[in-house]
Amino acid sequence: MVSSHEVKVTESRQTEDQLTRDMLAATAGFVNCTAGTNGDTPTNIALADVNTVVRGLLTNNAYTIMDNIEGEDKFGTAPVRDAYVALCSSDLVGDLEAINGFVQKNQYPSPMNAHRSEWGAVGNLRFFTSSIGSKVETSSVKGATVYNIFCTGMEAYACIEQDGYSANFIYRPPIYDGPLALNCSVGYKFAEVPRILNDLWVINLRTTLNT
Amino acid sequence: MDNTIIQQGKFTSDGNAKYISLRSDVDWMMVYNYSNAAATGNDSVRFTWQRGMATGVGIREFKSGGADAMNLGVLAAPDGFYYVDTSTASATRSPNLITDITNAAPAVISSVAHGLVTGDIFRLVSCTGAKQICGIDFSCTYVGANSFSPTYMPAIVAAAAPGADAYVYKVSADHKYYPSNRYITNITQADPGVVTLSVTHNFTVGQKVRFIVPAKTAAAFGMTQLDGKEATVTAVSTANNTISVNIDTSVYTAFAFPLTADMPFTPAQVVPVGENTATAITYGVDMLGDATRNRAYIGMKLPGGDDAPGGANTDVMYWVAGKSFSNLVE
Repeated sequence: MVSSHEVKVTESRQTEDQLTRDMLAATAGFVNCTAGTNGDTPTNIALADVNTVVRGLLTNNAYTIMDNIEGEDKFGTAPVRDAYVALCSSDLVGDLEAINGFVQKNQYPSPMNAHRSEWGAVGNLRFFTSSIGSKVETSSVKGATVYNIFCTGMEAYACIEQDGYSANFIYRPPIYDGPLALNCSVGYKFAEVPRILNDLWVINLRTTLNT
Repeated sequence: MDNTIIQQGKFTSDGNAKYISLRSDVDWMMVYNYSNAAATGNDSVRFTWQRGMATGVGIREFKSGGADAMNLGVLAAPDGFYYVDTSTASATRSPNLITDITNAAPAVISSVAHGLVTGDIFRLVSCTGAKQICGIDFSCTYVGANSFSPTYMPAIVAAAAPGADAYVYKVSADHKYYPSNRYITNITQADPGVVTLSVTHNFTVGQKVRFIVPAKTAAAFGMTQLDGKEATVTAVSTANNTISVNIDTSVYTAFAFPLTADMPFTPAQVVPVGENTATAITYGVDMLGDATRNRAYIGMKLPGGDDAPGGANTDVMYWVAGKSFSNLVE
């Protein structure tokens, strides 16, 4: 059984992710996917769009975050390049798999080097998905949901702790509530600010679904 | 007692809707119109809202027949309380299609009973003509009940009929974080270059920005010499929603907004990157003007008017709001 306290702890870390996500959505420069075939703006994601982002990050001297995974003599696997990290919504998994050259994480020579939220890699981008990935409803030219894919190099952004901590999880037992000690309280508060450190090292690749 | 938080405040009405940011959420709110309480008219004096009530309603107490005795009545939408949570921003579709987009400066967009007011942010979608301004956020100028304009948009070339399925959406809230990136609608060829942005920008003198000006066609966006360049904001115009930057753009190619046929493209943008502290000191402005701020809030929208909680122009208003245990189970 999961206690309400455990739920709150998960919620606090998820809130931290959401705050960082919203900062990136508001602040980072963006590139629209234009190489897809769905006729919208932005289009669905295609290999040329991935190449545009990778070229941009390389040109801006962004360091890759993920190490390469060396090829091994195993059937159905392929080496994985050192890579920038791409953070996106789990709604995009189908479109990611349709990109020319997409490598599923189970095709990595050593899948244990993949993270649980990782979906796969294309070129020098490794994609991580989340149910709380960034998206803006009714935002494409055709009125479809636009998905933000934050493609980031090393130290492109940070969460700055302003008072010596990122978040405080606070539990007060009922004795602090009143003379009858009827109610306990649990909650969290943040003292951190997400901030882009170098705008050249993070690019928001905007896309729509290919449906 | 824990979980019970009471806040209070005061404002002088300008006759328009007032947005009150409330820490720690709100379960009930009372607003007093001090000016009406002191007057001998028939106007409303006290307004009450409690969690569980429908959006836009409330209870009002008002004078009648010039007497001070209070009467009680229901406050009906749209004059009541509107709970606001900008962290769950959404886009709400106008009830009617867009029927026309002119190529005036700014364009005049026709949509019966569009419901927008000056200062709102809107977005057009699904246009078959004038596609180049679809999917882009604009600040709104109210022209009439059935027409409005993108306030800071120059004339677009040969605006075509928007098509049979074109709609306008009101965007409920701006980006949560400040400073945020903005779409560019125009850049002058001048020294200093003056950049017009599609939505109220709130940049300040001394902030550093970077330009993204893609080369879509031979003509659009034209001023690609500015692409990737970093600049310092040296002046701002709130009237024109422009920033002047320390770059001489007079020798650059003229800025040109793409055409409908140029879709898809990446819009030209200004991206905030930091602060030029030397410039900030020179101009005597805040050196931390670029500080990242979360602007999302929970609060209440109080519509303006004599019989509404936002008050009429010059009315002095007091409010009390609270967060407490709620039991809404019937």
